[in-house]
Amino acid sequence: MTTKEDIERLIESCNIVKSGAIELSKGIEEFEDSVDKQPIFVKPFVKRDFASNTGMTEEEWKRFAERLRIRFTSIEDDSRKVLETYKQQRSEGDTYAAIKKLKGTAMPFIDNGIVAIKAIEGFATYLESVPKKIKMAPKQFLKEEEKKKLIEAIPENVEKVKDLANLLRTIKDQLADIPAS
Amino acid sequence: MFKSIESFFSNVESVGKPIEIGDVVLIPISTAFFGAGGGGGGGGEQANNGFGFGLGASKSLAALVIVTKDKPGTEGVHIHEFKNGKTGVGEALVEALPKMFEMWQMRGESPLSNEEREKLMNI
Repeated sequence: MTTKEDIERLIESCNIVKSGAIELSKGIEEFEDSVDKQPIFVKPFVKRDFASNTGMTEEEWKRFAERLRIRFTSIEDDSRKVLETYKQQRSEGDTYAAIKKLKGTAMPFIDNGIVAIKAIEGFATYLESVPKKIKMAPKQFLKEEEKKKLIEAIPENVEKVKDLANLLRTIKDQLADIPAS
Repeated sequence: MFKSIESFFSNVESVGKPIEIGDVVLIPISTAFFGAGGGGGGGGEQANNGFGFGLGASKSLAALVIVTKDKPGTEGVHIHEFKNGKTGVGEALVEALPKMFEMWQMRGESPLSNEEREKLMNI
């Protein structure tokens, strides 16, 4: 049986994932903006480099981030319903029914979460390779000052992306442990 | 439209060898500039006359024709014209291309299969 505390932790984790998905999407938009500022002959290289190293185009990453946000909004909503049955001390039957619904909502993530984790970890690996690429950019395209600023921001973003992947792994295990009936 | 194309190509000195990178082909277009200059000088009683004349020609990268292979017709052709045929941009390009090749080679196989991408879109 899943405890009230388990569900409270799950709700808290869902909120972090939702924020992470929004940040991921914003990060991709910022990346798109920075690519748009590059000369026309540089853009296709950067875009191809991004897609081939992260496995998806910017557009696909934004769609994935949005899917993740929507899925975890639903998981959070259903978790809150489970929590209500505990708080209101409703019958075990009500709690089981709410848990069953939560499990059903979470199933696409339980089934495919490992791919999401793999993709996000791959994204972090790509980010780690970016400073080397930025350093290679000719000064006519990217001023030293801009290079420095971009490179400085990367370690923090790598950590955020890795944290998101680790959190998803924890939640996936947590959701898989919830009994289906 | 045709007039501007005609005017653009009337200045073309040479069309460079196409550079193929993945599905993009870059064709450098160069123009030539000719310059002449003269100078003279004269002194007073102790004449110290001088005269000079010079001719020069230089080639400058004026534009890049960018052809994207998988885009049909004119949609796949873009002309990027460098204002005043700036040598700086030309130099930047010369500097950039080998680096782009290097960056290009840094990529590995796509880390996600089509099936995995589809799963992510339905998560």
